[in-house]
Amino acid sequence: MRVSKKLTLIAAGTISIIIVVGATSLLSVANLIKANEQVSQSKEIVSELNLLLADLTDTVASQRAYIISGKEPYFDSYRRSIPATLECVDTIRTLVADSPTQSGRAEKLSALVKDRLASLDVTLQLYKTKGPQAAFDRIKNGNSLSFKLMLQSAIDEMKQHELALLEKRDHDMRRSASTSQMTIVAGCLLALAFVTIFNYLFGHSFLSCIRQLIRAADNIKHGRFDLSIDTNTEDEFAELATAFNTVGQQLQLATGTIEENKKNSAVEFHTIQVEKESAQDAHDEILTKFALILGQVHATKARLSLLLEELETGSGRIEESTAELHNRCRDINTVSQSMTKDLLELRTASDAPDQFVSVVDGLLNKLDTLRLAADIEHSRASESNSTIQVFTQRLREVGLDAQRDKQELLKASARARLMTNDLVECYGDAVNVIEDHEKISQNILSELARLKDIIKQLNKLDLSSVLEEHSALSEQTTEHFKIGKSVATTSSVGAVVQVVDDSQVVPKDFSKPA
Amino acid sequence: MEFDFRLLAPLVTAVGITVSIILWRLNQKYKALSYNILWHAPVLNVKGLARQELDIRYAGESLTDAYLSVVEIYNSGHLAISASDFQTNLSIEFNPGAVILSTSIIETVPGDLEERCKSKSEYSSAFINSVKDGRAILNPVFMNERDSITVQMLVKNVKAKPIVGGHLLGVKEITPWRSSRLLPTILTQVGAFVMAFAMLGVQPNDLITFAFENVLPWSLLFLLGCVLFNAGLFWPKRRRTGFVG
Repeated sequence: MRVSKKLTLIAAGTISIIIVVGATSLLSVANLIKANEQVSQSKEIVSELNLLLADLTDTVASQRAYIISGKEPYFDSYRRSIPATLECVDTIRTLVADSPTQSGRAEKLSALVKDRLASLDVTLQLYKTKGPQAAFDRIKNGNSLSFKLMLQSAIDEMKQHELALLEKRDHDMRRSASTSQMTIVAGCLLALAFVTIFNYLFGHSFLSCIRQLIRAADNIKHGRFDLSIDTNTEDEFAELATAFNTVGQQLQLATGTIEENKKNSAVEFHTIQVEKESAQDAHDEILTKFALILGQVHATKARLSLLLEELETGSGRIEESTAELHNRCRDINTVSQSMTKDLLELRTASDAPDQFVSVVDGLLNKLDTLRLAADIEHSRASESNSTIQVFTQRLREVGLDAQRDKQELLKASARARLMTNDLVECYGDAVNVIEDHEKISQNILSELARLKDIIKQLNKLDLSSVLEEHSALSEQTTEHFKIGKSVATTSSVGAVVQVVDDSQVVPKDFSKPA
Repeated sequence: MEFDFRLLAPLVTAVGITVSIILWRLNQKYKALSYNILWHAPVLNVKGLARQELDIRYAGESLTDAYLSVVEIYNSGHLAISASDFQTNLSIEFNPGAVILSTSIIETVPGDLEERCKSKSEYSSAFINSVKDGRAILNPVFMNERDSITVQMLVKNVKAKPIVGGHLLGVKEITPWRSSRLLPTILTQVGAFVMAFAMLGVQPNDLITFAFENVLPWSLLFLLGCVLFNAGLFWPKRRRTGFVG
């Protein structure tokens, strides 16, 4: 049953009870008033009857006193009491008008009273006309006693009837009062019990539901989203509990998603870190390799430079050597030519003994000359002879050496040419090597530049944004916790549902590059 | 029926003494720790052929005969129980041979009760000290009046309901919670008596003569008895939590 229906039921029940109790009380009070009026009427009739009896007695007493004493005040009293008695009779007739029995009796009583008053009047007229004795005689011999008895009897009869009626009415009045009292008490007790019990039960039910919701909200606030509430009712609280359970489940799902995203982001972050570290390692390795290659290149360049310098020096030296060799070859050629000439001359001289003789003569002459000179230079000649021989020998040896040198020079020249060709080839190879190295260096530089770009891109890879997203997710988690807290504090589950619906967590795709 | 006012003095005295005794009783401050088994039922409650075919596993363990037990331990007294009052740790014990597969704290009142637990635990909650041999041992924690811990356990080879044990300073015994049906019983009895009294109070002549004004108070009294009787019959049973199994 819904809360509104429960409240309506309580209100309707309470109003019904109040209406019934009120109507019954009103009826009872009306009956009580009616009974009271009847009792009062009966009491008034009895009182009037007593008054009538007293008036009659007073009228008779005044009349007798006047007749006995002859004093006017008694007569005046008699005169005054007659209308009062008649008025009393009329009052009684009026009061008993609703009761036919009593009306008949009242009429009879009225007639008796009138007869009695008429009789008194007759006696009084007799007193005035014939004197006291006649009045005394009439009184003495009259029917005053029978009148008295008849009046007494009529009044007593009416009185008894009224008293019986009074007793009955009084009993009815008391019963009505008691019934009214009981009705009011029972109605009040019923209303009190109804309102108290139903209010307690409904209030207990409401409070129980609210306490459950508060406890659940408190536990949800502290992360226990799997708490399920069952109010065991079919009212708005059950709907609220269902909504609360749904909120808890959604929060659990959202938290699970956030946790999963957190884990995924942590894994992604770890992967990125690993990739970054591996990239850093690769970068360092590349840098090391590059440094090594650069060192090697520099060393190669240096070696090549040295080699080039050496080659240049070597080529210079070779050129110098070649030039020197050329010069020496030329000199040797010259010497050899001259020696060839000498040999030819010698051969010519040996072939031509004359010529040889002449030559010998010439030589002899020369020798004579030389001898002369030798004589002069005898001392030195003897010394220089060996020197000449040595010189000659030396010249021969020089000639032989020159021949050998020539051969060697030729060989050396050929080797030098070969070496030059080799060196040229080596130079070309070295140039090619240098060009290759330059190309490799350029490639390495371009690779290095690309690696630098990659590193720059890696450095530019904004991990802080990932961290910011991660922190944003954490903030979303905190927001969800705060939402749970706000649920606990405000109990405005509808707003929470709206908030949760509004705060749909979209997992970030960290697999995409930043 | 006239009320004799001479009875008023002893009546008022008796009422005063009764109220004083009740207030004194209610004002007594004592320590008490109780537990309430909110749920104790088999996990798998399927019968017939489906039971033979159905198999549920938890961490590799078959849950065919496993029970799910939810026990709430709460401070039912008027005084707070401090952690130093625990002379021994609280334990939730099953029958010998029972195997507790899982223990977790599913609810606390207040929700941040766990923050009061200073002990460190290797389990999912700081309350859980150890779990072994069909016995879950809980760490001591400061508990104010009406604070509670709800423990959920998945147990195998269960033969009886769990019992909470432990020794606390000022607490004679950790008692299981029992719902008091005194008030509903009184209401039912009083309602029946009032109905009978109302029925006997009606004069037959009033019914014959249709004197409804005389019958009405007895009808109201009968209705009062009906309200009390039905209130006693349908008085809600006390539930300590919103746990749903």
